[in-house]
Amino acid sequence: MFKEAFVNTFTISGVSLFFALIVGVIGGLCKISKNKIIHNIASIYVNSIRSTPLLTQLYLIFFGLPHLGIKFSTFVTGIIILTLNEGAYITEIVRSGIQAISKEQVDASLSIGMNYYTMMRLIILPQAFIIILPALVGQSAVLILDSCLLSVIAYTELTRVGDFIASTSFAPNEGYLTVAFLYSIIYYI
Amino acid sequence: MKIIEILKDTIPFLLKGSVITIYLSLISGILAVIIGVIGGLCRKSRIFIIRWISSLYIRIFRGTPLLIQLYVAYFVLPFFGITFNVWQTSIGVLAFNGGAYVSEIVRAGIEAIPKEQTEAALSLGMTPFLKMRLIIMPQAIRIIIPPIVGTLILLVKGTSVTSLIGIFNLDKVGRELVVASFKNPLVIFSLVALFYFLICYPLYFFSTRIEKKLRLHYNSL
Repeated sequence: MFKEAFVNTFTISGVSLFFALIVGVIGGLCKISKNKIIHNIASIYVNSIRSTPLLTQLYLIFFGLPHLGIKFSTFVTGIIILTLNEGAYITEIVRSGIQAISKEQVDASLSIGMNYYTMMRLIILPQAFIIILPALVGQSAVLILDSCLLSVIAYTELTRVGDFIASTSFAPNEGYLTVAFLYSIIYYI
Repeated sequence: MKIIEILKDTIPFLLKGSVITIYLSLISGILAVIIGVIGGLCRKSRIFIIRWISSLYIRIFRGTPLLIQLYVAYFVLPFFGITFNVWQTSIGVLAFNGGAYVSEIVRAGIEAIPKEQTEAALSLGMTPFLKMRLIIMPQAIRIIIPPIVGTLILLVKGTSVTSLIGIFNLDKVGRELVVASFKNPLVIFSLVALFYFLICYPLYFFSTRIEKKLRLHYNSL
């Protein structure tokens, strides 16, 4: 029972992380865009998600979507919510990474004749990625911890198992603390 | 017109829930900062045991989800004879959880002060305590205040998780309203989100303003 939940936790965190990174990079690029509309849409997205708790977003999407007629499995809903939530934080991280690259790089590549996309792809993003890597690792740790909240929507992940066992005997909740603690050790290494 | 009815019925309850949320955030926030400063100083202590205990504390509270911490504090501790009610557990856990993050921030702030300051202070004959009080802390505080405001925002959002233990904060009120009335969940939860937004967004503004103010003083040195 624990093993299945463990695997579930890792899968959902992993998949959400993957999509959140994509969302984050796109969002980061949008936030530095000169186009007012794109910039504002991205800003509104990031600010609204960062100002509301994950649990509220969970309730909103999990209870609200079926009301609109869209029904997903708990797995997919969980991925959607985690992706949207963490994507906002990753957007900020990516944006700060891109802005940390000195202007000379931009000037140099433009003077060579690269267009915006080539410059981003070959010069800016690789450097930004290296700068933001520590922050990204920290954020993925947060993602794994946040995935525990998904137990609320009955997804069989670690916390849910803990809940379930808790109704019969409480001690295993501690064994579960050790498990979560072990992940943090991984990140400290 | 249905939506206006929903608004009229639910907003009073949501306001009460927000008050609880704000109250919880304030108290745990203040405690978290206090615990965090102490924890951060302990982390830099020269006494091994103190350093070790504070490291352990920070690792535990940062490495586990808030929900698990709440569950353990509320459900597991009674087996060891320590019983708290929902208010005590949430304030306590939120304070210790936030305190762990603040400790790391304080530690990073202290470490950001160049070693030369420490050496100069010690060579002047200051005791370590005096050094901390007069030289290091005033400079470190300038560095650590913006991230601490960020942590406080996270704390406000953390209060929402306490709804799963039974505290009637904004989230729980929203959820009960939806369950009790079967009205449009989308509208009600959007209202909840809006209320949280109204609470947190000004904090973000506040933090950028503080950053600007602090940076001005830094430059004038």
